[in-house]
Amino acid sequence: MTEQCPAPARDSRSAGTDSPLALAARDLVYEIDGTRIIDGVAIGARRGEFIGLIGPNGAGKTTLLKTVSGLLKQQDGAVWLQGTDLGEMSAGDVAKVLAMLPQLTPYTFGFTALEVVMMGRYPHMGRFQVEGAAERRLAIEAMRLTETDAFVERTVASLSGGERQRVFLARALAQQPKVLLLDEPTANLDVQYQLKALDLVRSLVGEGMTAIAAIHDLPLAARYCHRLVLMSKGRVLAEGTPETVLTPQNIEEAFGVRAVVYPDPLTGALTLSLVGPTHPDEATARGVRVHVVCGGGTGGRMMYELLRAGFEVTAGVLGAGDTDRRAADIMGVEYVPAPAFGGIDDDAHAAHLGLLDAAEVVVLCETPFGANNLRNLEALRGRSRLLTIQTRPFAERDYTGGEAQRLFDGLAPIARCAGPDEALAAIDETTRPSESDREGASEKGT
Amino acid sequence: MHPAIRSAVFLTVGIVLALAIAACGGSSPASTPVPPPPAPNPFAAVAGIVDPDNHGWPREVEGLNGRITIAAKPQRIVTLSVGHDEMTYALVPADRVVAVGSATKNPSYSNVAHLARDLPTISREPEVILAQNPDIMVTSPFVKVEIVESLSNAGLTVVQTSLENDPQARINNILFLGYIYGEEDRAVELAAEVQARFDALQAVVAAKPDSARPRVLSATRYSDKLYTAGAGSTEGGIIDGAGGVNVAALAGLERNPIISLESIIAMAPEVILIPQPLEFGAEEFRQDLLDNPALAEVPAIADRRVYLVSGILYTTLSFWNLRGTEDLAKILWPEDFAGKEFGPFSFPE
Amino acid sequence: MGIFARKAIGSYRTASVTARLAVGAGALGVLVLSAAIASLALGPLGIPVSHVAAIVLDRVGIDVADFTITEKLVVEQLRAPRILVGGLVGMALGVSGAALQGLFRNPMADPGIIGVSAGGATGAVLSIALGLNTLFFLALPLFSFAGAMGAAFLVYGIAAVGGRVSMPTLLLAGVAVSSFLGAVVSAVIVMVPADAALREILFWLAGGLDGRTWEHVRIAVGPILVGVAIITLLSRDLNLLMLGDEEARSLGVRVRLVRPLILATAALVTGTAVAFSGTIAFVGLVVPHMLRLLFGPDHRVLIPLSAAGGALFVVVADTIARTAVQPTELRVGIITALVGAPFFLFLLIRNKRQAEAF
Repeated sequence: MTEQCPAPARDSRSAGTDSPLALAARDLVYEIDGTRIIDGVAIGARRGEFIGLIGPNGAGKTTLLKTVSGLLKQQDGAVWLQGTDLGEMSAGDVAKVLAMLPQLTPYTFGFTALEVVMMGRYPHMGRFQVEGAAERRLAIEAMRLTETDAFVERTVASLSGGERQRVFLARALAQQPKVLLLDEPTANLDVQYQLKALDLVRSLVGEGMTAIAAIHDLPLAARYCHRLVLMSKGRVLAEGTPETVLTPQNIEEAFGVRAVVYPDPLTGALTLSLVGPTHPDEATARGVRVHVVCGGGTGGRMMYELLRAGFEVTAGVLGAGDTDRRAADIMGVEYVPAPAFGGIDDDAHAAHLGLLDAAEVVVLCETPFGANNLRNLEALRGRSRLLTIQTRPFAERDYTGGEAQRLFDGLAPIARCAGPDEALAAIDETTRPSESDREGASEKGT
Repeated sequence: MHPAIRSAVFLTVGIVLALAIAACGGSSPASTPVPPPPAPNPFAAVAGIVDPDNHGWPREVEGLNGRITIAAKPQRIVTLSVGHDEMTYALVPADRVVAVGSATKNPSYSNVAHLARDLPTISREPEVILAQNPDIMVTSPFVKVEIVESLSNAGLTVVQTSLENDPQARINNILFLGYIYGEEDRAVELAAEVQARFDALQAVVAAKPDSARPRVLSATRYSDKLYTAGAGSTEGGIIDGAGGVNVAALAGLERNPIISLESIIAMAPEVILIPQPLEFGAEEFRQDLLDNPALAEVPAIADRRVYLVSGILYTTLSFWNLRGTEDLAKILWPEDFAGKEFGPFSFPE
Repeated sequence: MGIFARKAIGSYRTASVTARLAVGAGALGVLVLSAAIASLALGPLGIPVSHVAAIVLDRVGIDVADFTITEKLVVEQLRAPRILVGGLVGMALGVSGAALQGLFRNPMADPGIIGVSAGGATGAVLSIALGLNTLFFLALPLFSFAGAMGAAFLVYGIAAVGGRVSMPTLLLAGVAVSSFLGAVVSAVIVMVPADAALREILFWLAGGLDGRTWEHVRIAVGPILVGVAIITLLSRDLNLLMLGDEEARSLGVRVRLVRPLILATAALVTGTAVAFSGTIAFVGLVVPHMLRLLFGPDHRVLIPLSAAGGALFVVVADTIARTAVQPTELRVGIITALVGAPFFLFLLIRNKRQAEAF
């Protein structure tokens, strides 16, 4: 008796054919001692789809994989494997269709790598059948794909963690599954094999296999998976294409870190830089706004460090195509846009002055000045809490024939710093509440 | 019987049983030669009597547990072994024995069960023994040193003595025990009776030529294990005393080892004795021997000379095993002892 | 180990299951047969090997004559059943050891060490104490089986937290269960009336293969062969169980069914063996280990070969026990312990050195 296979609870735009779901689950609940590890999860994986499960430790990714593979029995909800209720399938029937690569490479008791890989053929063999040439060939082929064919005669115990991981991947492949579940498949692998392993899964998915992988490396997940499912506290927080799931808001909510997300310039896949954990009570995160005047790649690092330290950051006028403008975009820093080499018109200048007025501290980076951006310097005139970063004489970056030098000399910075770290310390010093303020605050607090 | 007492009784019997099994294997050290005819002072040559001429109280003896002074004639006697109880009942009036171990009350293990039936039962627990308020306790070497010591420390006179199974040491045991109990006359009388019956038997069997002596095997079976009696065992002594040849001793076996069934074929006995109580499967064992085709050529089996004999006569560590010797002599030499009935030994008036 | 030996073992370690099984079974078969013939020829009664051969051949209708009726009867009625019971007991213990090691994922598991044998002995003693063995001839084996089963599930319940069993937990649970059962046996001995039953218990506890007859062979052969067959059929599942319950389950093993089934079957064969020989220690430890070193851990090879190896070990040990100190006999357990106990210690030391021994 087979129940009708349901549509996934939340549809997504990927692999948008009406191909049947290879694996589907609805309203899944799994709890241990009253604690819900999985709390009402729905998931649907189409044929030929690679789904990445992401989320912080303890989000329920491994438990979800074990539940949908039948290793754990859910308390509520249902799982369908190729349209059949998993609860009505025997372990042997499941094993013919679904393979699972476990997270930790288990105890192996003296088996050789080949013996372990050939175990992947057991579900397809009769009880009285032993592995013959065909099974051996399939096993060796799987080992070749995972580049473990050199270990055929080695005992698994003598292999490194990464080598074992690949041997067990080979076993999962030897199982010739329609659905492959992988729990942190790249955890023990070095960079080269992380990419190779996922390339391999991706190519098998291209041939019609379905893969669901729990992956903690978000850029890898974004790069290889068709869809991502972001889990947090046993629930699905977001689901869809990497672009829709990997937003700074989602990441902050799930992982508690601020991140900047941007397309990798080489692969085009989303990548991200973590800005730092969110510490709402941290001393530096006081909502102090710092304005950075920069351009030509001189301000990226400064903005990044300020964000990391918890400051609100704005930037001056940045022309199209400017490296610092791209950095500001990635980090979500507000700035005044201007066309490339178009100079700063009055509107932009006025907007810039507005940002400057709203900032508590202003940092002038070691930016070269020419006619195009000279008004960025002009806007600083008369600013009181100004810091400059300066390692070389200003004349070396004056491309205005002295006008910039004149404006620069008219500034009265409170500090001249050698780099972002020094500047950060100075800003911290400038913006910290005075001793008396702090005492007053602590008296109030107690 | 109260369940707890029942358990205690069972435990005691178990221990005594184990002891009895062990005792069967006790080897006899060189015994002191005693001239069989009563000498002017028959106690002079008995090892352990400090002053053979002292027939008054206190008197001293050298036990296995050291020199012991006996203050007065013992009136409340306990012993911790069947062999000692059998000798004690033959030496003193029955009312001077105040308690016995449970094995002594069991007719399967003891020749004096009928005398001890109504006595309190003791175990090797010192408190149980002291509760009977004895004035002397005689023990075998198989009782733990700690028990002997703790009873001595509690003020009880304890004499630990050996139990021998060869004819001459048997006589010495009787005289030594008689001296301890202050029953020298009765001891001399009993020793003479035992010696006379032994001599009467020897008069017949000693004359037999070696070629006429039957090859005898003593065998018992417990839980499918076959035990035999080799050199130094009580049964072995009985076989020798009755004029047989102990094939187990001949095969180099000592005490009571386990053998295999086919060893019986190799030993080729002409007579097989089964000194095992009926309730322990003696008859089944006998039938299995007789029915086993592999053993058919063993002379004893071919001639159907496989005998169930009384365990208490063949394995006891008292002079009662002379009754076993007499019993076997009658089996081995039917013509010589035709019509002869051997009775029990005498008891004191 | 020299590099050549390593290489030689390596190359046949990767030989197919069938090839390894064939080589192992062939070699062990020849050894078992030789041991059986030697054992048939050895004993208090000197029977020449040629006579033994003639007696065996006579059975299958080949008449080469030259033996006495007594020789024939001794060989057929006394020595043969004892060798067969010994072989069956060895099979049972070897297979049960290999199965328990796989099931517990622990190389130290052995029916003796983890208390399964003690459970069987306790059951047997209870059946004697209650007098059931005299009423019904199968009572002792049945009680022994029940006791072995109880002990197996008890130790498993104590030690198997989360499927995998740690070495110290397993050994300690085995010690605890064994001493508990030892106490039960002592209590039974105290409470049983001092009659035939008590004697029977005391002598039964000594163990050994003395006086085994064709009747014993007939009763023991069924449960032991059936048990060995069941475990052999489940040997592929054992391979997977060894890698973990989830691994096994994801490769199609019905873990919840197969685990208790293997445990119960191991208890069945151990209990039967104990009923017919008392507790013979270390067979289940030594035999599978040696074979694992030679033929690898695959249970489809290991289980059948452990049956043959166990039979070989017990038959040889019993022949030594029977003949070493003629005309008396040693208990077979003394010989297996003399070999097994040092081996056990060697494994413990080696395990201490290597976190994962295999």
